[in-house]
Amino acid sequence: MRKKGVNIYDDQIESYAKSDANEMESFSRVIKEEADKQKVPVEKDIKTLKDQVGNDLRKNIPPQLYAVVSGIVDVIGKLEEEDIDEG
Amino acid sequence: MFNNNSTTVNRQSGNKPADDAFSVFKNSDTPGMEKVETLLRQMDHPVSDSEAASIDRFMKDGSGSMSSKLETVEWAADKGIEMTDKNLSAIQETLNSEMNEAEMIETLAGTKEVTGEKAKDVLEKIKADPSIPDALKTSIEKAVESGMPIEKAVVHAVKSMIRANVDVKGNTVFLEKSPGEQPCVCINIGDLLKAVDQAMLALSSGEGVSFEDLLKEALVDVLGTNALEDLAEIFLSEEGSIVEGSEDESDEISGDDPNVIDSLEDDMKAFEEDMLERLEASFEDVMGSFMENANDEMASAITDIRFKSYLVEKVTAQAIEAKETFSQMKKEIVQSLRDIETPKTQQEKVDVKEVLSKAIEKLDNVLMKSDVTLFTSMKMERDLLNMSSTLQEARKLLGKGDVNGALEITKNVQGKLDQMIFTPSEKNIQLKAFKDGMNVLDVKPNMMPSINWQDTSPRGVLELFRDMGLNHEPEVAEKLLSHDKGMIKEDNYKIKDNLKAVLLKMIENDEPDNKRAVAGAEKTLNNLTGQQLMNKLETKQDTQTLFFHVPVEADGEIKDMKLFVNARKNGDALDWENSSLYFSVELKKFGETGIHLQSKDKMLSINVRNDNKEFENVMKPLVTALQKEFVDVGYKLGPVSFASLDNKTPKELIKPGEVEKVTIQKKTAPPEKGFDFSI
Repeated sequence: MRKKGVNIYDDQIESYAKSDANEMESFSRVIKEEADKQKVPVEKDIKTLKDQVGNDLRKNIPPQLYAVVSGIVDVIGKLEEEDIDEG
Repeated sequence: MFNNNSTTVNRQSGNKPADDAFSVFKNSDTPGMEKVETLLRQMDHPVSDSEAASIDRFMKDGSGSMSSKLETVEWAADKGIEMTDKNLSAIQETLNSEMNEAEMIETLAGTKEVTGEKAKDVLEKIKADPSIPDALKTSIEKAVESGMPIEKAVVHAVKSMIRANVDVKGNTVFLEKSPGEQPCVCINIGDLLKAVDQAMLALSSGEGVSFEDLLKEALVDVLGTNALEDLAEIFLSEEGSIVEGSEDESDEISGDDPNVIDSLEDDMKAFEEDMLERLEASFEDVMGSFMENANDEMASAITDIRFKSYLVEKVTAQAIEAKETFSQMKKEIVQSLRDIETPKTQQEKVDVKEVLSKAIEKLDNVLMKSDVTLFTSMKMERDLLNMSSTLQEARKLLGKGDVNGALEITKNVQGKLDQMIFTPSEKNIQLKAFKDGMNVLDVKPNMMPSINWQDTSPRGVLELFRDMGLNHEPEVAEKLLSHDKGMIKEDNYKIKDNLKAVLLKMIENDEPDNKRAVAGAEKTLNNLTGQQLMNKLETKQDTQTLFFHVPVEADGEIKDMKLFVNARKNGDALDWENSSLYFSVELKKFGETGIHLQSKDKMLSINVRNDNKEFENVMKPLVTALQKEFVDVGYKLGPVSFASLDNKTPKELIKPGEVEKVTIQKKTAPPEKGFDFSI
């Protein structure tokens, strides 16, 4: 059986994400070129891409906030069920 | 509206002195530009000439009222987003349109399938390749002329080019070493074509590697490394060489006590057997779900015994991997917490804080990035979340000098985690099998993701955002960098299929007979792009405002719920303990509803806003139950109140000032406890 680790982080992206706009623009250009080579579709406009590429929702938003959102999503679904029951 | 730190230079566009930058507005006669200038001066946010020109065009030609356009400019300035035509248009679209993902997905489902197009490309490459015998090329052309769908003709050709057995049923392709021989890999015909295309491309670059070997590599790339071992067996060459990287890595644990290894192996074997049994037992339900969604072509694949065995094995392998990830995390955290001793010096305190931070990071990674929470029950997910919150509390206590308090709760977490056993939930096992199966059975345009609207777990919400493509670019960057630099990456790393990627591809192809869908795609794409921009964390600001469209399944349809988030920044992430969220949704019976949740040092207050008389009675018990869930993940009970809707906008309600008062309030007055249902 294969043994696998967690190894989740990519420090390089993290350090880029902290860098300034010009560095992000250069970084985005590299990502765009590489993505084109690999035929992976990404945002074409570098000036848009630079504000997307370092913004990882798995890291920027802590799980506790997702828990709050999930609770509300659940309640909204249930509210409409109430709607059916009563209606 | 926003809390802006004073800056004297434009964060995006260089170091232009403020007066120069604002003077670009003076020559414009576009209505509203003077208001833009006033706004940006107030925000101390100078702009470059090109940004000024974009703003001018946006104010002149952009859709929407002047106030809505000013709001867009304000958002862009607040988030430090360069004000290009595209960025302004995307934010405007996001703020002022409903996002109907379900409708978009339905539109896409009716569009032309792409396998034919992809197959044509592949066929051209086959025809152009001198190493492929002419007889084969002729036979493919004849097959196509005789009416065989082009993609099936290509698969037929591939069959002649490799030694493995290739069998097609509907849109599902079965790959096996020889007929009926295990293992068998099931693959969607669209994915197979993608891999063949990739292999043909590599073949044309002429590095002397056989097509079969290139196809093996491409398949691993398309299917993920989970399929690697099976593919290695299926494509075993005559010399007995196997696909690179597929060697048994069990020696990684050599050096450990042999008894421990035996016990771990026994444990894993028992888990595997249990998973196989559970999947076998519940597969009838999964089959039922498949058949409900199947057409005749799909049914022929579903009823093939190889399909079931493939899924049972695949889901079991995924569960085993998740269990390994969980065990590794558990072992590391428990060990690190166990090693903590009472810190005596300042440096030792810093070291303990560091240990706690690492443990929190590991827990959060497992929650947000691994497959663990895709298998576990919601209860286990919440327990893990609670541990993360508790360790954060311990870290805080340590900072305040309460060493005993910090160590006590740390040891408590250590004990709980040590006792925790990874147990996949029945519902999630079946859901995994269903999603994996549908991906193999159904040729969706450009491989649409199978979106699960019903998963209301915390991880489920993140997955929904990922399915929409709100996290597409960072994940592509992560994958490309890992690949490029030969860095260690998650073993089964594969860019998640998502709506945004599908739309980007669709617009790229720009098929003339598909104009209506392309126009819809552009609008949705603009909305998604706007959301991504508005969810960016601005590095120079302490308080962040974010905006999302959250799709919610209610009453059999997908509704668009708007979510405004305001929170302080805690390192690279938002500070959940001091945050403010406002949800706005239009309900069928109860009408417009707003829910405002505000956490001040984890004390979570809830204010529900609705004008319907019956609403409070219906909502109250649901909110009470909700509060318990929030306590389970680390919040404290705060007051609940109901109110009528007023003229306050969501942004006013979540305004940064409210959040910033937090620490001051905490110091001066202890927060209220218990319930307060008063209006």
